[in-house]
Amino acid sequence: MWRLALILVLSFVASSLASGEPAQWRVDPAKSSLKFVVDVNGQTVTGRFRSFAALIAFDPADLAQSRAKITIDMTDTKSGDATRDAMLSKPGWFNVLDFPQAVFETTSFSSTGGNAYAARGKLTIKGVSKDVVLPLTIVITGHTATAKGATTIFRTDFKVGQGAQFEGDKPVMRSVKVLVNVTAQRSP
Amino acid sequence: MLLNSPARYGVVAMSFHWLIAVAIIGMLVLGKYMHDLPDSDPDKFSLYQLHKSTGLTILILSVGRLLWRLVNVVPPLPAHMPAWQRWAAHASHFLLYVLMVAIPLSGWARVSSDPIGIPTLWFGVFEVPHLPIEVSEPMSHFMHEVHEWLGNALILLLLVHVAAALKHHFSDRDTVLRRMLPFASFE
Repeated sequence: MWRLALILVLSFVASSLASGEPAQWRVDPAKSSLKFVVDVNGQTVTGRFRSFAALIAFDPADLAQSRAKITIDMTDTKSGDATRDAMLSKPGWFNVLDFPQAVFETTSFSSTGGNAYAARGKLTIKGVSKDVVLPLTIVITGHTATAKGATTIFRTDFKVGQGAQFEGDKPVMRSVKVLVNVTAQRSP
Repeated sequence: MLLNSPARYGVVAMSFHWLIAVAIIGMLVLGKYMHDLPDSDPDKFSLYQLHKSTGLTILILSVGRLLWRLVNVVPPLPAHMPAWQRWAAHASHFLLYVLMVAIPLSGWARVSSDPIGIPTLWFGVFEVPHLPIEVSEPMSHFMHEVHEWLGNALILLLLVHVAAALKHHFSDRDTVLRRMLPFASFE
């Protein structure tokens, strides 16, 4: 009788442990990238946020408790041109002295069929927060997960490119595509 | 050898002269070329940075050159020159010095007043601050015009300068050109 009770209690504890938190994932920086693509004077310019940190808890079977927080080091942004990079760090653009970090923090994950998900969350750049939906394709193979997705934001929503010259789409397009490509390992 | 003598310019003065001469000719060509490039040209930013870096270098060299001139003997003009030629030689050299300082300054002012606010990176090594000047489209446009106008004036003055040097050498057969040439035979 006592033995049966003990088994029941232990199995309850074990099952609650197993279903408690979604798995945590550690990003592999060498296989991950965070980029933006924007049209400047008719050319396509690609910028890379070369340094970012991610806290990810994700389980396709437990989307309700899945979440992610990406913190981007804005001081390490490279766009393939020294002049442009220096300009990007200025107050009218990323203002990295006052806002060295940008953050994307999810509020919900939802399935959109198969490997497709929608990560809804708050994107904060230069202290301005906006709700953003990031469609993602997430593939988990063993202990490795890849998440790829892209979304379009408007730089002017985040006060990026201040001044009368940059209010419009020339010389710098207002719509900016953000590309996410992350490979992560399941934390033991 | 390093210093000027009454007979000829020294190594320092010659170095200043020829270094700045080569830089100025390159800058005039580069300035005209990059100005007409479309904004979509991928090299435009780096060509402007090269132009700005070289221009600031010419500014520093020119100030150094002027100071060097002030503390040195300046070889006198040949005795055979008539008064009007002496006056023209002094006036044109004075204007050359003015332009060597004013053109970089006007370019710097043009960059500093541009509302777009493109930074100046001295040969990619450090960022040069903007001059404290009104930032506006009209001011930037005005400085652009001044920079271009002074550049065109320099082209004319250089032609006069070179023509005068050649006249001294081939027509007057004096030492005016040779005393600025590093490898000219000189007795």
